[in-house]
This record gives sequence, structure tokens and C-alpha cells, in this order.
Amino acid sequence: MPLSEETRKFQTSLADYCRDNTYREVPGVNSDRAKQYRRLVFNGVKSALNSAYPIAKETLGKERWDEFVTEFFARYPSSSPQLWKMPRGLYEFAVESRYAEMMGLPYLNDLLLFEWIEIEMFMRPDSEIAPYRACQDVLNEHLVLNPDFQVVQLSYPVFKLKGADLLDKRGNYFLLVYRSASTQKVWFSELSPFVVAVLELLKDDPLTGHDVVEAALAFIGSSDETGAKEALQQLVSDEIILGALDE
Amino acid sequence: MLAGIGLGFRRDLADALIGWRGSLPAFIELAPENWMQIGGYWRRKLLQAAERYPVTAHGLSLSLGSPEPLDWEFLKGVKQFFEEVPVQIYTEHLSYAKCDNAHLYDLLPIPFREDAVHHVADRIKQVQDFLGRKIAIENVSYYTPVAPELDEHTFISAVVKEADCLLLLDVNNVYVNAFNHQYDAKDFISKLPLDKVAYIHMAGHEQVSDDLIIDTHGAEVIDPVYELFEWTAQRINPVPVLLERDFNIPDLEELLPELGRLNAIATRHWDLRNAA
Repeated sequence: MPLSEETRKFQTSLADYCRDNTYREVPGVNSDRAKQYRRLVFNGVKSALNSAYPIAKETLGKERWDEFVTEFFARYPSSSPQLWKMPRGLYEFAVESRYAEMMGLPYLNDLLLFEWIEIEMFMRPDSEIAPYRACQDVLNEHLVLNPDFQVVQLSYPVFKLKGADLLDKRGNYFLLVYRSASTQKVWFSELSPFVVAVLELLKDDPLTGHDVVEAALAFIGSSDETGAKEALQQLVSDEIILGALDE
Repeated sequence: MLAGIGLGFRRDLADALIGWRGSLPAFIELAPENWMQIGGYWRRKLLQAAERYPVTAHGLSLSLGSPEPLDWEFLKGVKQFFEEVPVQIYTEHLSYAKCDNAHLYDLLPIPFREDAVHHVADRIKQVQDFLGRKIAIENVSYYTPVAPELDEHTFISAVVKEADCLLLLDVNNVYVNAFNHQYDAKDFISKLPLDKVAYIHMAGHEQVSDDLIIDTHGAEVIDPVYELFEWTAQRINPVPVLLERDFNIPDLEELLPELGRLNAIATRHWDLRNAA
């Protein structure tokens, strides 16, 4: 026996009230008590968003942040059954509804993405990693790349500046976001063309350090072999390269 | 068979629980939504905890009472998670947390109506068939009825019977509902299918006005709820008992007296020699 249209409507009315704070009469419902549901549901969502986006919250200030969160929850259906994934929806809502333009904060989308990507990287399922050991001779060993990374393209350097300081800094910024294999912490690093090339070269197959340096320099049109070797060593220190393939 | 007194596995308590060597808690309970399909730091903590304790799962987002179809992708994820982290029992709420495909991340009351009984029971059966196990459904706290046609106990009993599922008896929720809706808690419990009780929840709450208690899980269990548990324990078979603490989470040491008190009641009335 399917749910009657009437019961479905009652359930929808209460759920919609929780989302948009517009009360709809439902038989038997004590409207004062129903307020508790709106309060509990909205506070739960707002609390999760506050935790996920502390910088955006501070940047917008209390009034604009509250308005943003209220609008989001009323208008954007959260599709994930996992509460920790819900904040991604705020970023998607901002992009779809052009909230950044409406607020006169052109860097808002980047800021939300920057904050969300840290959570996503911290929580993402573990990737398969080829067996590896500590590097002893970076140039002559096949190098294993940390697979838990993502390259993010931003239009504003929200990873190093805040608020009004960002307004005249529109450009192309590439950020490497990765999770340390030893501490599980998330790190951000502004990408140089050389590192972009290294990531591209190592993402499919382990290559030797020599091959990587040679190909990466060719890719970026540079002949600075000394600098490239130092940069490669730094990638090992930063755990972006995990080590040498344990063959 | 799992028995004894357990504690909700919260991130605030993870390190303390993993390192703890006492006999209580006898098991931990986690929300699969918070732990499935993740990696990194918390995945490692989860695996350490699962090595140390038997695990039960208490779902938040299956939304058995939703008007729309079940979320099969989510259920597949839950099933996969149970293969990675074996759980002794899976429980969910007799409520809805999603409507029109929008999650609310809280528990809304299902209208106590005949059509809702059949609708929810059918969904529970689908879940049980898919997972290949019986689930236990929890009587939830609620602050207002919604277009009711049945008594709460009639609704719960009918769902359990028709779905052929188990019951998670949340004693605190009975106390909260009895206060908020002015009925007798013991009379209510005695009308439930007590032979189907497979698990018990105990928690603290907050009285916010003369006639309203909110089920916060943010405070110590109060004496009348312990007394209601003791009364209940004399009327059901031994089952695992879980202390829920989801807000204002103190150090593990501060929760031990509550676990001890629950254990004392349980051992007074049940033989827990085979407890996990």
C-alpha cells in the first residue's frame, strides 16, 4: 500500500518548513512545538557550515553569512546522506546562483572552493599506492607520486590573502592540495610550472628522477638542471613524491 | 552474542577509547554515515577502534519514513562499509530525515497513520532483504504529532510486526515523549513488542520549558531515566545497552560512572557472563 497523497503532503509540509521557515498548517501539529524542528534542523546545518567555512564566514560577517546560509538551505536541496559532505552544496549554490556577483565579492567562489577542498582532501578515501621505500638516489630511482593530491585553479589568491586585498589580484593561480601519507594532514602549495610538469609525468607511471627532470625541463622550456634537481628533492621532502618504487 | 554496556564512538573520544584498557565500554556504536567512504586520519582511527571493540552501527540518514524511494546508492555504500568493518547490529530511526530528495540531517516524526505503517514496513523489509540481516528500528523522540490517526505505541508495534524487524528501545526517548505528550512511560513500554527489543539506548536530555524536553544527548542521564531502564530490564531479555553522548562531550573518565551505573543495573537483572 503506497503512502497516501495526504500523508505525503503532511510530511512535505513539515520538511519544507524546516528548510524555508515558512510554516504550513498540518492537522495535529502544535505550531509552537514545530518551531523546535526548524530550530534544530537549521542549527545543525548552520553549525556544519560554520565549521567548514570559517574564513568565508569571517569575510562575509554575521549578517551576510546568516543570509547566505539561510538562502542556501531554503533553496538548495542537500543530496548527500553524509552530513560532512553537505557543505560542498554551499559552494555549488554560490556558483549556480551567482552569489559572488550579488554580494560584490568576486573571490567568494574561490574562497569557498579553497575551504571545501581541504575537507574533501582530508576525508577522501585512501588511494591505491604502488609499494615504495625511502629514496636513496632520487635521480636514479623510479619515483612514486603521492596519489592523494589535486590541482585547483583559482582566479584569486585566497590561499594567501584575505578580503579587500584580493580585489585587484585577479589572475590565474594554480594550487596543489595534497594529503601527507605519514601524518594524513592536508597541505597546500602554490604550483610552479616545473611541479605541474612533474605531477603530469609521474601520475601514470613511476619514472626515474633523471627522466623526470629532463622531460619536465623540456616541457617548461628551461635548462636550469640544478634548480630542477633541488625542486625534485623538495618534492620528496614535502611527501608529494613518496619515495622510490620498491621493485 | 553482543551484550553489555557500550558507548557512542565520537571523534572527540576516539583517541581515549582506542587507548582505554578498561572493561567498559564493552562495545562502541558508530553512525555509518560519518565513517563510510572516507580515508586518511579518521579511517585509521576507525580501524584501530574496530580492532579494539565490537562495533554496532546506528544510522542517521537512511530515512525509513521518507515519502520517496529508498536511496539504493547509499544502501550499497552501507553494505560495503559493513563488509569492511563488521558490525554486530544495525539500527535506524523510525522517522524521516529526507524529503523531496533534500536531506535535513535531523529526525522528523512520521505521521502515525495506517498508510505510513505499510509504507515504512515495506521499506524496512526492502532494507533487510538487501542487507541480508534484520535491522532494529528506534522509537524516536518527537515534539509534536503530525496528523495522527493511531497511538504512538500502536504505530511502532504495527511497523515492527509488519516489517518483521527488531526494536531499538530508546528509554530516554520514551521518558522525553511521555513528558512532552503527557502519558505514562511504563504503560507505554508495556504496550510495545518487548520480545522484539534487541538493543537499548540511554541518553541525557534538556528540559527547556515547563512542558517541553529536548532530546539533546548533551547531558548526563537523569535518575528517572535510569529507573525506567531498571524497570524495563526486568521485562525484557538481556540486550546490548548503549550510552549516547553527542554534545558537550566530556573526557572518557567522566562517562565511566554512567557506564558503570548502567552495568550495575544490567547485571542486577541479566546474566551478562557471556558479554562481549
